[in-house]
Amino acid sequence: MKNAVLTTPKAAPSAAAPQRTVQEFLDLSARGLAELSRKSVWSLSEAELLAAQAYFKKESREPTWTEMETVAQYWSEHCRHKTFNSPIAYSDGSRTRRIKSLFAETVAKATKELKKPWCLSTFKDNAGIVSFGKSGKWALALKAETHNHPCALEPYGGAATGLGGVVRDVLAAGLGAKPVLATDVFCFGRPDDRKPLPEGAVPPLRGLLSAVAGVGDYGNRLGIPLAAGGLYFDDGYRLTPLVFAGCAGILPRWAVGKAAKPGDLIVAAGGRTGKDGIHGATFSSTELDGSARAAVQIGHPINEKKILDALLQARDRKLYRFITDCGAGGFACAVTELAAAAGGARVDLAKAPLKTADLEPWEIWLSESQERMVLAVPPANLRALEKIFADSFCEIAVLGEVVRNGRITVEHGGARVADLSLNFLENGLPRAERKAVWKAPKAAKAGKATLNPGAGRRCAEILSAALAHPNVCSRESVVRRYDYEVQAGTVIKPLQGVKHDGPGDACVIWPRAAVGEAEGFAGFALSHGLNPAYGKIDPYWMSLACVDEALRNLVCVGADISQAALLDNFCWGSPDNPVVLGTLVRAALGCYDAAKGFQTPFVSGKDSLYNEAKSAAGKSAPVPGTLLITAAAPVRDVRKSVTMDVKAPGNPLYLLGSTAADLAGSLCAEILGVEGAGLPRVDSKTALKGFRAVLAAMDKGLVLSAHDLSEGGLAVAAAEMAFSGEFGIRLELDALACKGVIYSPEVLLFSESPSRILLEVPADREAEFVRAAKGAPVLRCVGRTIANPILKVKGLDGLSVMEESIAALKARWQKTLSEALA
Amino acid sequence: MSVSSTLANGAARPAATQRATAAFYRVEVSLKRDLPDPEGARALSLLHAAGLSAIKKVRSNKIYAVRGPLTLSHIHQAAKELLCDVVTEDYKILSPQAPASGSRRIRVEVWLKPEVSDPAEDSILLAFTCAGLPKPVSARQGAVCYIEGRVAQAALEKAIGRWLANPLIHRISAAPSA
Repeated sequence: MKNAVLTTPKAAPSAAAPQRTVQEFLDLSARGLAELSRKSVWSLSEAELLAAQAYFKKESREPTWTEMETVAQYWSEHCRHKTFNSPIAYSDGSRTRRIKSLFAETVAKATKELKKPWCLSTFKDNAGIVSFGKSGKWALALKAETHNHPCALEPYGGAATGLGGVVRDVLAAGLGAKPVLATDVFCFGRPDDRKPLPEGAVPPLRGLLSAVAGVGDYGNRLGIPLAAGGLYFDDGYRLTPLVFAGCAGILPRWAVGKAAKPGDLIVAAGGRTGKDGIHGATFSSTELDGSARAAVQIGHPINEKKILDALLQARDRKLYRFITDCGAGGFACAVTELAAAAGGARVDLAKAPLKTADLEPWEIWLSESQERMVLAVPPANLRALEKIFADSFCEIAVLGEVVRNGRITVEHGGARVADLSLNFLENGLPRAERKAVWKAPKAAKAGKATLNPGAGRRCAEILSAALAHPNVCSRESVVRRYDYEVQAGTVIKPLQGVKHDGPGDACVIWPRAAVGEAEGFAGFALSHGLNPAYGKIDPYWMSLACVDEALRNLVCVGADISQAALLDNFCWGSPDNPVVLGTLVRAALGCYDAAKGFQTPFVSGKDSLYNEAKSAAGKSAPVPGTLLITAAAPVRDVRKSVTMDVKAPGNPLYLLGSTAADLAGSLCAEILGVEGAGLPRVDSKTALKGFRAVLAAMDKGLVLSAHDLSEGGLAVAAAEMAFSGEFGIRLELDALACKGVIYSPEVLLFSESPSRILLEVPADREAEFVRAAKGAPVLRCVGRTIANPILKVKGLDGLSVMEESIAALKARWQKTLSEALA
Repeated sequence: MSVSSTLANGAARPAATQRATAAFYRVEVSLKRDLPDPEGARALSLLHAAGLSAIKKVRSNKIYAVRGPLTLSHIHQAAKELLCDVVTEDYKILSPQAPASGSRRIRVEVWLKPEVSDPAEDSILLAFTCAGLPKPVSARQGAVCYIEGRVAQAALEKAIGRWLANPLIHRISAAPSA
């Protein structure tokens, strides 16, 4: 086996740095190439290395170091989504199906088939874009991202720059959207986990505190409300936490399209380039083994705010024709993407403003220094652009120009360091077929609940434990770290109720400050759906449950889900493992069926794979397959939005949807330490009818409060509504509509059957409500609000099953996280 | 506001008007003693979580390292006007003298490693200029913890590396303090 020889200049690069080549690359064996790739953190497969070798053989020359780094970044899993775009032989036990592209045949296929005219840009830009408001003048950009690998190394900086990155995505959607909402969702190991960790691993509690601080410190400085999010705890995340960040922004409809033209100047705007974050894209395409320490990114929110303000001024003066952000892969990906869209580009890296002078050309090209954007600017507009950025104390530099020669040419002070065919970069990536195997675990099969009624514990004890569970308890101690009021458009806030501390289902934003006009009272709502516990049993039903939950949360605040848009974020372990890939395929198939069933398209998404780390015992530990669904929908009149806290005593409570013995993956099963059977299975057709009926009633002002039933089922939802509104609730279990015969009050109270919402209806308009919601397949009055501050449940036999003080329940609910994070 | 100052090299304080070419100063900013210190309380809680239950108290401060053509009076002005909130905080210009041995307190400094860019630097440099002071050549921000209680220095450094800082990007040093 031959070893590649790298010629490295000892001196810092001068104005014309010597070209650094990967010598003898053309002669390396497959094994030699693999060794070189491993040492260089390229994360390229053998087939990809051989394809690169063949390309350079055709060019009759050795590649430069910068060229190979460009190939590695551009072909990384992070940038090219190879798993989702490569063929897969998927076997589910009964047959093997050939999937040409998981993305094209599931998530994107649903969007294509649904053909929603209000989807203005899907899957091709930095964010999905849908229309907004009645006037036809505005659009809404939506994006959710992950920053898992950086957060595993440095949770504060990783979470901060994760938020910064997704804000830049929205800023680069079309010609730029003004961010009006930020979101965050964290999946961590339990904060009380004190089990031994491998060297270098961050304890879950410290990781969570740091990630919350990172998002708060970065987000609060940007002036964007952070008003939606979630927290999920599971041992599967103790070594590899998941950190999702999202953003929504408003842009004029005219700014949705973008196209650079030959002769346009390629301009870098914002922060300077440094050594931070080199190899982030390739690093996040491999398992965490502690070898890629340079991939830590350092955020500078003030710089991002300056860019944001300057760019929106420049956009409104139409000073640039194309914009993209520098994310993973830095200039290497951003400029190459611009070149691929425009037909070619030539840049000189010596013109990039640097933090330190000791950067080699390939480092400048790859650096993931934050807060940088790349623009295509007509030369005549340069002076005006410079003025705007100078006034904002923000740097810009002309790196090169758009040319139409089908190549990306990179120089450094006169020395050519890369010259690659865009056709090769875009189409040269070999697509190797992967194997995926799905074998349903026993619990995934339909069956009766194995829960032994009560299992020796009273309903009240189970409820108390459920409310104190980390996945249900109050998030107030985290939510209060974020400014969710800035821009003065947060109509429905994350914390609700009499004391502003109840758990909201979704936020509602009235982006009046962004559109600069009242635009009626049009707003939008945003929510999430996530439940990895179901995915451990069957990822297909997890996907449907996540979409169902996200849409149900939107319904709870009164959003029009006929125009809901979805974002998907898949976080999985290594797709090289056929079993892991099998679960991913199954989840993606679930997404397709959910989107079609609910008539709701996906507009953007992202996958993050290789979320694995070695445990203290040296065993590879993948995260549980995790799908985050983000859903956004218009709220035609924000004044009609509904919150989840009960409003007055004496009002009837209606339950939308029927209850089955759905306890597999449930919180109750976990609390009782039983397996539980009956995974919640979403019937999207029935669910959609119910959601529409509820929205029809809400539109007429016939719903006072609404809350979705998720972890902990009816009991937890009723308790949360009661203590948030400071009125009691009386439930009668014999009034519940059930699928099958259920005798156990525990099952009735804690079942997690999907598509259910508990609604408070004004007593004096009950008949009107029933008429308005007549389209709901299953809607039953199951109780009443009462003045006595207790949660009282009457069982099937008419006897009391539970009678608990709502103050005591609230105290239990509030204690867990606030104590853990104190 | 209590203020103490010595030159970085420990020499007598020069006249305020004396010009410095590329002097190096370290400014430590602390909350006033009568104010609660939530960051210190958080650090104490995390160190207890790390198993160091004999630690009784943690006090958390900020520290700045500034290099540039600045006189001592410049750095006092910067400390008062830029680096410190004089209503709630005190500052001192640090002496590089060796810390006292046998002290019950351990002083821990946490700095970003030199190769890691400090996002506060730009803001500090700009702020000096805006305040009419000479622009420093460089500026860094760090953190200082004073830890009281019985704890082995090695165990403390390890716990800090895992719970309060990140050895990937931070340089951590602990020493007994006066």
